[in-house]
Parts: sequence; structure tokens; C-alpha cells
Amino acid sequence: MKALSAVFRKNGRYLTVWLDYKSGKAELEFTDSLPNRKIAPALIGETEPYMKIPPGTNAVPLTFGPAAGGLGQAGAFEILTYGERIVAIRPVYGYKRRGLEKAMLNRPIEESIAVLERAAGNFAMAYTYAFLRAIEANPDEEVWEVRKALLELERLYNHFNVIHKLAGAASQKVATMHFHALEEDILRILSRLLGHRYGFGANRPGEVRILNPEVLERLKAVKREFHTLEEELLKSKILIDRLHSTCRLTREDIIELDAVGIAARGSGVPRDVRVFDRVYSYGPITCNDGDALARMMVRMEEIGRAFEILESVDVKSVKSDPSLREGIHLGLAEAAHGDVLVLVEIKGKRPRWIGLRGASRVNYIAFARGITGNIFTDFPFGLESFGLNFADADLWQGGEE
Amino acid sequence: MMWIIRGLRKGVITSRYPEKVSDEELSPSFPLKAPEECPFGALEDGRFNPKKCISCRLCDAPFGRKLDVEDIKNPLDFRRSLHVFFLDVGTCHACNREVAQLHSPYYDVHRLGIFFTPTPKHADVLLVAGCPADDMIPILKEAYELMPEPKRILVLGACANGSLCGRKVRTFVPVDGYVAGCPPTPVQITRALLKIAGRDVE
Repeated sequence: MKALSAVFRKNGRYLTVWLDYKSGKAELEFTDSLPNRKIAPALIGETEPYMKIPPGTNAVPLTFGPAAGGLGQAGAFEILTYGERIVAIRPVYGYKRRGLEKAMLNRPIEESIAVLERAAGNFAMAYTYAFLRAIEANPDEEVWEVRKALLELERLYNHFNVIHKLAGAASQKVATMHFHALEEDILRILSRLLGHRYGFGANRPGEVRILNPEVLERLKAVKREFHTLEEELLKSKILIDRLHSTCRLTREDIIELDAVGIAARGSGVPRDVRVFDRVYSYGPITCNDGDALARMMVRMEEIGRAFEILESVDVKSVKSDPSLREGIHLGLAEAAHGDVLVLVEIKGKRPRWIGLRGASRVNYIAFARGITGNIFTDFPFGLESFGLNFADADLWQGGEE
Repeated sequence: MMWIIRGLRKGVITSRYPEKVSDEELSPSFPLKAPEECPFGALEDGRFNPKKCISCRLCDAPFGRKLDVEDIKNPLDFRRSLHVFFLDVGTCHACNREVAQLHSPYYDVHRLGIFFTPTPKHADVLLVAGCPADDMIPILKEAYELMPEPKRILVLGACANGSLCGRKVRTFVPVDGYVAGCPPTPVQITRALLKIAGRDVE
């Protein structure tokens, strides 16, 4: 079944992107009204329709954010609560609308990529991967192999970050520190490998700039440490108990809400763009339980898979001479939290219009569905298990509507 | 029990900063000289402003490791602890991750008496990151108003200094110090926090 992946405004109409996750076939369609899918309002940044107040409830509204210490980022949730119970909830988008999409336009491609990297910094590899997928006409396989390796490195530190936060929420203080240190280990490897802790400046048209590939030897020690920590962590009944059955999403929820990435795979829906990405030879990892534990287990497995992929790639500086495609094109990449989508129009070798859809924009709605009916103390477990952020959720489009 | 044994086996990994800083703690992404051109406005009237450099590495400047990337104008005179409220006004999330790393075992700023508070009402320093987005400007002003005296504002990263989206934090609140970088590394942020507290660091 096709999923509604993105909705933009172009030429005074809605431009919708539908994606078939089995075949990888994407369809672009102009319409005069929003498609009749639950996720459609969120894809244009409107989340009010998701706040359904149950009739006869005595619940009290409360806004969490946008400067709450617990969130640590500019974003908010409007929560309807009765005692400890979360009766209804919606994410509030817009606090991070910076206009970066517009800043990417009408520049040479290298400059546009430099801006794009700063759209959602911890998913910079994924966004540049998707952008270059869209614009390179004759991609060089060797270049794409190295880009794949960088994407997996980004997945590693983001997955470690999520596990660190989940362990922290369960007061597993020693475990949380070990995983936080693993995240820093990967950032230090990236710093030596690419000259930047988040890999900004590495992916350029036809090129990947690698400074010091020998540093990847350190991954062996990180892998060893991760596997021993994983074994210990999964013995922690306190953590497992807090994650089990928390923020549960059914397979039907995922289909209805067009959710993607870890959220989908944790509920048994194999949505993963690596399956049809020609650089990968990849079978998706899924778990059927749909709760925070299932999402963590998918991440644990994906970390193991990322190490295997990194061992199989000869990471080195690579350069080719690709030509740029003119016209409007779509690129996709499977980031750590879910797929990111870049729809870009190139004219005269410069981007003139761009649409970005991060997985956070979609999956915050799935989180809201899952956490409804849970209690407040479940909130951090549910939220962190998705690995989302508002910088990613607030990206939309630049150029004429 | 196994966690304790594992921790002991790993040994001490915490930074020795401010006594000593290692290459590992600094990213080689800082411009060491002024470029001739900058597509992102870091050259103002022919003069290079490193606080606006996003480290895009598209120019001819050599890039390398640098610790002293802050510019502190108005330090406090605190010899002991410092309480900090972090406010994201429109980051790409990279600055948030670097600030979060300050609590990791690699940096552990508690050992230096630096503590993060969940509210500006308890804070000595407002640590602001990101390009001020429309909806965050009133919140930035309110957070500043809520802080007790004496109070300082430390701004993180090129975005908050007007690169990319063209808005500066100092347009909306009085700024006492800057940390350059995109994003600044945890040890660079630590140094700036120590300096704004009035502590002596090399």
C-alpha cells in the first residue's frame, strides 16, 4: 500500500508525494485539496486536528515547552490530562521555523548543501545523501558506497543517543553514561575521519572528502563494547519493564498514520528505503510488539547491521564527475529515525525550489497516538524511543508556493 | 555489580581540561586564517568575523583545531559554582547535542561546579543557541527577564550570530559573550562557561 510521504505547496496547488515502500516507486501528484489521509495536516505543519477532546472529560490542558528543561529543544506538546493520565496530546510545530529552506535556493550546489547540512545537524548525512540522490545524473557507485558508510556512522551515534536517553529515563545511571560515551566515541571518529564531528562538509556533488580513514579501526573496540553493554542492558528488568507495553502502536496505527522508520519497523511494518536503495543489499529489521521496547530492540539490531556494513566498505576519499539533473527530482535516505525526503527543482545548475520532509514531522503524530492513554511517567520512554527532534519536524519548503 | 566492574575496567575517560586539552576534544573544523571570500557573510567590510563562520570549508582558509574560540566581554566574578539555563531558539540540533555532551563521562562539567537548571529563575547564565525563530523571540526575552541578578548571556554557534538566517540573538537581548563554531565542541563551550564565570583558564 502506498503511503502519503509529503505534501508541499507549488504553483498555487498541493504537490503530494506518495511512496510504495515495497517497490520504491514514488508518485508526484498536484491536487487542489489536501489528500484524505490522517497525516495530511501534519505534513503542512498543522497539528490542531490531532487534538481530539473526548466528550464528557474533565481533563485539564497543559502545554509542555517550548523552553522546558526536560525537552531541551524549541518545540512543545499540548497535553490534555486528568490526574496522571494523558487523555489527548499533540506536538506543536513551528517554534523552529528558521527559513533555511529559502536560504538554500539560487546558490551554487555546494553552498546549498552547506545550508542543508545545517537544517537538521544530527541527520546531515541523510539529508545530503537524499539531496545528492535527487540531483546526480550519472552516479558513481564507489562514491555512493562511501556515502552509505557515512550514513551508517550517523545511524550509530544517533542510536547510541536514544539508548542512552532510554536508560537515563529508567534511572540506569551507569548504563546511560556508557551509551553516552559510545555516542561521543563515534563523534570523535567522525571528527578525525571527516574533519567535523557531525560530518558537515564531507558530502559534495560527485565527491566524498575523507581525511583519515585509518581512524575507522577504532570501530572494532566500539563494536566490542556495544555488544557487551547490550547484553548487560537487556538483563535490566527495571528498564525492560518500563519500556514494555509503553507507547504502543499497532500495525493498523502505522498504516493509518503513514508512520515511517523505526516507529513502523517496531510495529512490524517493514518501511525502510534501504530495501530499494541500489547501494544497499538490505532486508529490514522488524519487531511486532509496537512498544518502546520493540523500537529499542530494532535499534539494537540495526547497530549490529551498521557495523557489518561499515566493515564491508572501503572508506576513502572518492571523486567522480557527475552531471547535474535539471528539473524536479526526488531523493530519499533512511536516517536513524526514519526516511528523509528531498524534492528539489534545479534550473541553470542551481536549486530554485526545494521541499524537505523529515521523519520527525510524521512520527511525532505516531508518538502522540501511542502515548495517549499512558501516564505522565511513561512520556520520556515513549518520546525518546522514537529519536525525533523539532529541527527536523519544522522543515518544509523554500520557493514559490 | 557487573556495571561497576565494567566501569572500573574502563578507567577514567573524563577530560583533563582545564589542566590539559587533547586533540581528540577539538574538531579540526575551525578557520585558522581569514578567507578572501565567504558565501555566508563571515566577511564584514573586508574584515573576517569568525563568530559568523559556519565551517563550510568552501573557502581558501586553512582549517584546524582551536580552543580559544570565545569572546567574553563581561564576565561574572563567581569563584565557585555556576548555574546555567540552556535555551534553544532555533538550532539544527547539533548545538543541543554538544551541550548534552557536557554531562557525559567524557566532559562531566559537574566536576567544575557547572550545573544546568530546568528554569531561568535559578540561572546565572543563559546559554542561547540557534537562529532566533519568530516564535522563540518572546520566549528568549522572557527567559532573560526571569533570571536573577547578576545574570549573563552566552551565545553559542554561528547561527546565533547572524549566519544563514541573518538574525542575531544580540538584537533581542544584551549578549555578554560568544562562542564561535558550527557547532562549538563541548570543551570550547566549557572554556567559555568558565570564563564567563570569571574563572582563570589558559
